[in-house]
Amino acid sequence: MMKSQSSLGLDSVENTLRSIVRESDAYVIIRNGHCDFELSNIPDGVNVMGESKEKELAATILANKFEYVAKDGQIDGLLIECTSSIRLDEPLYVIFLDNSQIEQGRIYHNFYLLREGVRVNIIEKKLSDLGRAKKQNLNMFSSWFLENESALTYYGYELPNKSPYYSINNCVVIRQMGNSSCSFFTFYWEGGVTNNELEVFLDGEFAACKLYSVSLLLNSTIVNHKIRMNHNFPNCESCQLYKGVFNDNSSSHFDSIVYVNKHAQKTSSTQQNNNIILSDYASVKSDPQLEIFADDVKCAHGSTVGQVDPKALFYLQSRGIGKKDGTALLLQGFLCDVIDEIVDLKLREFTLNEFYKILSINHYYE
Amino acid sequence: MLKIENLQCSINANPVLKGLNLSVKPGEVHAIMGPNGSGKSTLASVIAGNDNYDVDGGDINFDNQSILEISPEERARMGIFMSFQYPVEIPGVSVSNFIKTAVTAMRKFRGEKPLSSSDLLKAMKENMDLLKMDSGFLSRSMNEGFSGGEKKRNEIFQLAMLNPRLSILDETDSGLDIDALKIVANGVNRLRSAENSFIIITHYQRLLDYISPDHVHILSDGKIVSSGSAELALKLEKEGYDEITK
Ligand SMILES: Nc1ncnc2c1ncn2[C@@H]1O[C@H](COP(=O)(O)OP(=O)(O)O)[C@@H](O)[C@H]1O
Ligand SMILES: [Mg+2]
Repeated sequence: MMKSQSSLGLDSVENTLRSIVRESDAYVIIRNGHCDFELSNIPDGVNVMGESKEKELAATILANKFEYVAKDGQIDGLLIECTSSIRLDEPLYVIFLDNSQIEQGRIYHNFYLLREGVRVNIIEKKLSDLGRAKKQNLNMFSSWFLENESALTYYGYELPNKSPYYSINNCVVIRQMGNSSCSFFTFYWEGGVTNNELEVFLDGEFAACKLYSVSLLLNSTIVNHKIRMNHNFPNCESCQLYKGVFNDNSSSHFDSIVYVNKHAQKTSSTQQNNNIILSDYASVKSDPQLEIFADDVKCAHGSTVGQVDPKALFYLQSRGIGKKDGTALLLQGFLCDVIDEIVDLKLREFTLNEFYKILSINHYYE
Repeated sequence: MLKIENLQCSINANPVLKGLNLSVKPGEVHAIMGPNGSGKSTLASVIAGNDNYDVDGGDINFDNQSILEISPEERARMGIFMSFQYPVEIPGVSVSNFIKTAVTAMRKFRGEKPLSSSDLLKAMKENMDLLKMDSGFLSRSMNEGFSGGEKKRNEIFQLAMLNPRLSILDETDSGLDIDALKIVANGVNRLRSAENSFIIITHYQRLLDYISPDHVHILSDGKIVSSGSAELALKLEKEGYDEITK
């Protein structure tokens, strides 16, 4: 009892935090559903509105922008607004700490608003293994609004091996205006069941949205993707690159639609889902789909499900590299086109390291 | 060093090697010549440990020990190297990462610490100079989009980096123009020593103009039908396989 008490304390929260961010970083801490302004280090140009009167404001702003927002202003979460006075070279961390003992789990509804011309990199991490006795469910709604000319790079990480959740339901809506660009990275490791629903609205000309994802799954982890990419305006570009490596009895379903409105001429879109299965018990379903109503478009899609190439593995073995290291190297090669898209070098390194950790605990079936 | 006795191998139940004998001593260079489909690549692959081939009989000894039950990576660590006739493309794995992983694995086996990045780079640069390869090579994906000649040079580059005791070159000369051939031959000659042995599999005499073999063997239909000195290769060139294998 004493032990679990102390692990819920501020010390442990701070220790956990320090393992993720340095004091000099910019970070917003969301603790048990509320912004912890004291623990946070919120930079100029970023407004976090979480208290009730601000929530109302948030609701009015967002109700105009999103169909999905309940119009009665009932929002359980935060609005994070990035304004043009933001001066950030480094990414902004948004960290969710949750050590509450709510039996049924928490429902978040978070809004991100990028004002005109704002460029920002945001890293979201969910951390919750703070001495809680029981696993919970997590429902997370995130709505992103990108005004004209704004640019978002987003990285969402689950922490490996430590997922405190039975199931995570992520519902993400991204609405992009003219000339905005969005690169959206998500990484999935071991832990429970994750259902992702992601819908993007390209609602202005020359908007570009790139979705990148890697799943490295062990045990009975399940990660499903349901995606809808709506090209509503001409001259927009979208890309989906979803890669997965599945061991044990993990599984995944990629169910993705690219929709091209009849007005959305000169659409350019790619949709790619590539998977490697390492065990006889893992399973993958891949359904990339196109719904095209315009005639002047370039849309490519494809999916693969395969195994590690035995010829390539033999090649590595013949150079003295063992089966396990060889497989890890080949998988790293398989994932590299997503990794290469991570522009931030430190983050690329971090991500690669996380991959190594998982690949090195991978075991292989003969 | 290498002693192959009455080796019989098959692939998908098709017999390919039908009782092959070969003995290679330290420092020797053997050439194996033979028509297409005679089993040259099969022999190389079986020595390297490719388990696509079934060994139906006979034995392969290396350092007086049968290696048939030994994994390919362990054979490599014992000092066996095969330059592939068709090197495999590995997307996303750079030449430098490949070499680093291989060199580190070999050193680890010998109980040595990994080379520092700068020492490794230095060694790579030296060998690339030897083979007249430009340094942009290191960051390219392994064999992906390489020309035939570049692939072969990359094989010899790995050979030079790993410094094996027994190198098997499977048609390393095919697809090389005369300049590239000289460069590769020069690279191989630099690695010759009293300890290091080579098995050079080739279709043509021309590589042997630059790497002079101690022994030449003619392989036909899964068996060595004729063995001799370097002159045998010249005779073969003149008279053709039909004459010699009949
Ligand atoms: N995967 C395979 N399945 C069936 N037969 C094969 C296969 N690979 C090679 N062979 C056969 O084995 C024989 C020897 O091939 P190989 O060793 O490649 O000859 P070489 O290198 O001398 O040209 C050939 O007759 C070839 O057709
Ligand atoms: Mg051959």
